Amino acid sequence: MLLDIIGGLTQATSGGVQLDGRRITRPDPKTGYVFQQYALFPWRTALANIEYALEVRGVAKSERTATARHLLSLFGLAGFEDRFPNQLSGGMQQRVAIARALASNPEVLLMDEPFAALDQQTREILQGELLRIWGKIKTTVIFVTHSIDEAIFLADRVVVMTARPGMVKEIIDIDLPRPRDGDIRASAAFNNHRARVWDVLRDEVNKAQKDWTLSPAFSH
Amino acid sequence: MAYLTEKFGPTGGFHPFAGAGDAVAAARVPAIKARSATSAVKRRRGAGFGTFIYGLPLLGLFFLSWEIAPRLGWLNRIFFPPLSEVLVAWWDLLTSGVLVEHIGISLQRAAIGFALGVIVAIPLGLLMGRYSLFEKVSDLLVQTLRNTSQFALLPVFILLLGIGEESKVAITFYSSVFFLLVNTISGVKSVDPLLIKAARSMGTSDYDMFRKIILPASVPSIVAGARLGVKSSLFAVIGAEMLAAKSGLGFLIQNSQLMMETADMYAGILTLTVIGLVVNYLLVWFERWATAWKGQSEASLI
Repeated sequence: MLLDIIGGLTQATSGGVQLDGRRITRPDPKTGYVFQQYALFPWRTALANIEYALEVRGVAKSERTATARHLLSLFGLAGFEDRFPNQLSGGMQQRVAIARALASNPEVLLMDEPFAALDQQTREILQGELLRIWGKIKTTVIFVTHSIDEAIFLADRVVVMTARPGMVKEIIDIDLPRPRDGDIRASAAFNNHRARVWDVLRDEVNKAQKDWTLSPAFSH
Repeated sequence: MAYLTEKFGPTGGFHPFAGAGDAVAAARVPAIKARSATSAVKRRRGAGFGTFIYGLPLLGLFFLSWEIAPRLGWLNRIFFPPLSEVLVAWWDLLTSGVLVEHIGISLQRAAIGFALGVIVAIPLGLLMGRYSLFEKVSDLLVQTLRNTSQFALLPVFILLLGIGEESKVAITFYSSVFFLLVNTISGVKSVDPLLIKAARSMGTSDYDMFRKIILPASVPSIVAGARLGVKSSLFAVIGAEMLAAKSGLGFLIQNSQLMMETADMYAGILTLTVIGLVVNYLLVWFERWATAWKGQSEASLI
């Protein structure tokens, strides 16, 4: 929901979103959106899916093909240009979806639990890939996740939200050095951050648990 | 629609590498399928050539009894000429050019009516499926019209358009347009909202939304409607030609019966059967081609 507002897909009931001083009321060319369920167009090939983002903005055919090919190879998907989404694995589909969101060269990339539907191994591989590619483009990423590890591993700042209503509870700076790789998860600093975030989150989890036990089906 | 089509559930492709079960929601495009002999033909084809071979003996037996029964006097030869005589009559009609002429006229009438149906139904269906007010306003009229038999309307078409080509085209149009319309609407309505959201997030205009998202996403449903529409157009043109025409396959069959040229009549009927089989095969092929992106798992389901 928060991402929908930032992405200009939904209007906020109160308050507003500004990007470089401009108020966002509809989808802005400077934002790219990645969804949990990939949201690739199944009738378009991987290449044509990425081209779509440029197509609707009136970029010339040769230029958008070149951009799309470049992005595919950046994500290690060279050779899969002509595959339809249902001929790709979940991890590959999400790579294509991220590439599509990056095609228009956004300044803000919105990611809505993009790896939640993937298995743990694929998930960690894609987290690493996201950091690698982010290292090249250095765009702002707003990444929503339910995984504390994922948040700490990827982020400069973790914003903990309250359960319902969704409000900012606390902002925690993550000062882990970059570039990061998987080993960092085992470091003491990482563990400290994990304990810290977990501390902040505990109240919210307890609150959610209480909601649960209140419903008769779960009472014991 | 209820008596001719049925709805299949989500038919997303199978993702061998996807982890959680909910990952398999990428290509949720429900489609309307024909519950008719065509789907049986498709399944049979899917099952392989073997089933075709199994079917041959019974078909052979049918043709054999058609040949023998009239010769042995079990059936009246005047009403049921042996198959061989029918084939000779068919050959004569073919070589004299009469048959080709009738086939051409019938197919032309069906094709023009169907093409008009496509031109009217698809844009209309896109609007009706997308804008609920548009549908609310027009739904009752559509339901009323499409439940009126096209044959009951033939006298009306003849009164308005005369006995010539126009009334035949009108009835074939009428017969196909509602299959196309209803399936286009249902295709548009079942477009995954997530795809529309994704397209919006990339700044898709309303016009591009129709052209690049809603139309291609609805293709499987529209093509299924087109299959029903083509068959319906063909049936309608034969019926109309039997009732009021001086040419076409329907006229040939009806006229041969009146003239007691029963071999010619059966030749016309057999020709229709063959055309039906060929058209169905072409439509199945077209449907597979148009929905190739849905993948193998879907092809076997159809």
